Amino acid sequence: MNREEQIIDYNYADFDMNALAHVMKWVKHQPSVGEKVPDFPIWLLTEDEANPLEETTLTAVLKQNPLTIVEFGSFT
Amino acid sequence: MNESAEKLAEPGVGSIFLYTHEAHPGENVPHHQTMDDKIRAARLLQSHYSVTRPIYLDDIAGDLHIAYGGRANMTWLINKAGTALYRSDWTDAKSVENAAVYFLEVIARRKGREKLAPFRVERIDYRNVDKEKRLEGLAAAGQKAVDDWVNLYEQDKLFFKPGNDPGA
Repeated sequence: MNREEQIIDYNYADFDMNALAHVMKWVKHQPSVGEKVPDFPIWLLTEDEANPLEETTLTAVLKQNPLTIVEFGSFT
Repeated sequence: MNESAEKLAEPGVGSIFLYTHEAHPGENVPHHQTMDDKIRAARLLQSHYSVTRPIYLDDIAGDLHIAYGGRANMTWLINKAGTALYRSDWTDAKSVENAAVYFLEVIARRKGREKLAPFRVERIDYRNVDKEKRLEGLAAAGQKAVDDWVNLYEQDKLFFKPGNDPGA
């Protein structure tokens, strides 16, 4: 799957059986507890309308506290 | 989760919200095609649900979200070294608070020079299920979001119906 296909696949337009199948596929490969988690760039949502995103990495955020709660989600 | 974040901040637990794709795209909050779409949706979440925690966005292809399993509303508790200590299928403030308090105690016990060895635990936790409230939230995203959700709920394809309770 190329990058463009991944973007379309991940950002499905309809929550249906096909979308559920994606999630079930991804879940099989998630890290276990006790493992080091993979690092990725993430973007802080700022209050600045002109520069709404500030790039960092998950590792950099995790280093700020002994423990960090990471809740995943969206409006929907 | 905002209250939990405030309560746990003082003893040293950070809390962030990681914005993913739209789990149930609707007419008002459709699927993302660009980062600008994602920014708009994240701002809407921030204002509509008064999210006080820092909101971070994954990239448009969901690289991080997919690598972590892709569940719509999962929560992880991760230490400073980047080791996952807790991973839940769904987010529940009481469940994650319980885990955070436990791991803060472990940190204190280590400082007290207790000899500790890790071991693996599996357990079932419980969260409040409020179908009406869920549908209210989806209605703000649009009727399509409601219809898609109800369709799979009625087919028993969603994983969190009280009927799945193993009994505790």
